Amino acid sequence: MEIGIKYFLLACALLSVLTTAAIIFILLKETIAFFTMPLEQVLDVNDQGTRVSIIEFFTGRRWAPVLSPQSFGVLPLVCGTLLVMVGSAFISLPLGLMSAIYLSEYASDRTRAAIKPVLEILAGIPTVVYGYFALTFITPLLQKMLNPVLVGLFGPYAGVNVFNAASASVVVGIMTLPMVTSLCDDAFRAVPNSLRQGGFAMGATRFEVATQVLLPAALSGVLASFILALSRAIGETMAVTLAAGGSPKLTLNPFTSVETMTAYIVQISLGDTPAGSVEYQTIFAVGTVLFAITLGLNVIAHKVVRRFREAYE
Amino acid sequence: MDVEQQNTPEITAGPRLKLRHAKARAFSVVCAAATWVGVVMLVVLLSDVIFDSTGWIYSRVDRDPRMIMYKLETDPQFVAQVEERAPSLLSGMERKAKSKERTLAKNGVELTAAELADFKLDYLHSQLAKDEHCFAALDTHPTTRERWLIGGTIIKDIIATFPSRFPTKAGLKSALAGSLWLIIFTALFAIPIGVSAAIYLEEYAPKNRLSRFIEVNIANLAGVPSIVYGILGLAVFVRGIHLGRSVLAGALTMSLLILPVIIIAAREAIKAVPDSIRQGAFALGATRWQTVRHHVLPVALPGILTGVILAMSRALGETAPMIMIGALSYVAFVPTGPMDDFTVLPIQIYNWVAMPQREFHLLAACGILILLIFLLLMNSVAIFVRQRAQRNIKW
Repeated sequence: MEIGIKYFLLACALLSVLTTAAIIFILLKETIAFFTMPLEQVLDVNDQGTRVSIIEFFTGRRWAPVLSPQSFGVLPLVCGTLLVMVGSAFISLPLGLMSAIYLSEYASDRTRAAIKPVLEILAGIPTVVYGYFALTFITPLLQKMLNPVLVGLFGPYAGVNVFNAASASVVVGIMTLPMVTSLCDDAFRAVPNSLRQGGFAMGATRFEVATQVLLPAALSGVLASFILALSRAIGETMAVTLAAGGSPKLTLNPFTSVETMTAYIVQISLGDTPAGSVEYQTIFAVGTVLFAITLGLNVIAHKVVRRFREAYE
Repeated sequence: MDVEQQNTPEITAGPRLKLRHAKARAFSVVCAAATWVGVVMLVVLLSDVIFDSTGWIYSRVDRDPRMIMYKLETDPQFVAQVEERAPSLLSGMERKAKSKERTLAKNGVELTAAELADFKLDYLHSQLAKDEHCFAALDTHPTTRERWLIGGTIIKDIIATFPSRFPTKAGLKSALAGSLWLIIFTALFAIPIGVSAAIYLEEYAPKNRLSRFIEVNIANLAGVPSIVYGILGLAVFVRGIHLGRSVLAGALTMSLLILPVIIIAAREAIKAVPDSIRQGAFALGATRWQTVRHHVLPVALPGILTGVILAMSRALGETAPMIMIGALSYVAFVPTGPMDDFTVLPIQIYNWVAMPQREFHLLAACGILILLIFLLLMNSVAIFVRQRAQRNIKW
């Protein structure tokens, strides 16, 4: 009985390992299938047909698997993803860091107790709601504010598109902000008070203590929170799908419609592409790239925490 | 260097010190402002949703056929107004009702009063669709009570009707039912497995490489984008073991997605149980499982419950993995078993937001409001449980 329970519990714990293994196995298997599949269904058995080359996949500058002529360069999707990620970083990283400094160093316990749950609510709102917010509030706001300027500068077609990377960036930034705040806050609170008091005893102002004592001491936690926020921004799906649109483009213009990797996967699985075709297989290849990037970032974040941690006993 | 100057201590703040203090003040203001951005954003987001949804319902109330019907029955002034501005309407309605009654009477069927009213309402509906101007001329001038009454009926309709091509006739019935099915099945799988895994890691696991590996693995799984779980579910549950696009496939996928969340939360709760309780149980000769079952789990339960509720509220709002496994977008039935097709609330909302018409966006806002109310309820239960537990702890 005791032994049986122990092994049952172990099996439950091992399920998580199995999940990881299954994710990796499925992604690799289907991606290999994607790269070895003939591009067109050919009748002649001997004719193997052309395939998507890995080099084309990673260096091609046009992503059009369901258009004719087909083209399988993943760069536009990666570019769109990074565009949204960088944009969101401009919001979540500085705001998150500063609000964490405020919460841990300035705010009274009552303010803290009031603001922390609010940020938790912000983090708990479903992403599809953020998509609605981006499409019906942020985008019209951006259009109203920026269109006169943009049109004046770059001509009549330079205005903010209905679907645009900027609006997606804003909501993804808001979405990841609570994560940065709470992780940085934890990091700051882990810094022992003696360090702060040492700083103040030397006559340093709060600003100097924050930037020259706290920040270096909590660097590992701060960096890790940044990396995790970026990783979440990359993996974010619904808000980006709704706000950034569905036209893969290799561009740095945040006011035009782009397509992220996640949005592409959603687009194909909602569309009527027949399962099993090369076009359909692309979602696994793109999914692998997405998984590799986010997993890489998460691993780096854990490494950073361990590498730069200042342990205070 | 001047000796005299060195000896007199400088009391007044020099320009450099002033600058430093100014910097510090500016910094504190900037930090406070940054904190408020989050709060303001939440307020803006919520009010955007609330104004869009309630505003839309409010604007529909005045000219809703049911309001006109209600007014015709209760307000003689309104009847007079209709007779003056749209004379054909009343006579047309009566005529249609009469002829319907006659045809049915020929076949020996008696029309009840409720059925007659329904029929008249249908007629109003069709006339409203045909002749916008005629109705634009009618002022129903509802009282506040009547607004609430008809507004309530509209909300009830949104909750209790199936999706439709027309925003004013579309509702959330199948999505709400689908979400309920999904949540129940997800809870059935995820809670026992998640809590068991947490018990193993906290109470049983030896400090070896396997345990360490499992821990790192769970931490990494928590960071995997939800859409990747969707891909996994699609390949394993939908196609691999041929569950199809069923509630079961969705629930299994969702369980895998929230397992790391449950495990991490449950571990925290179990970790918070003081060791003295375990040692007391061991001293009395309890086995490890008896200790866990009778002493650790009851104490850790509120904490576990809080984590579980928060994980379930995450499952309620997840969209991407359900789209991946092919939860349908247009479902005009309620799932009756775990193998049925389904849709969920966030997917329905996504569909409406993705429509080009503004009216669908407003309908989506109504759906979002309902979703947020559910999430709010779940979260308040979690907070309530947590606070009750904190009050009861005595050590």
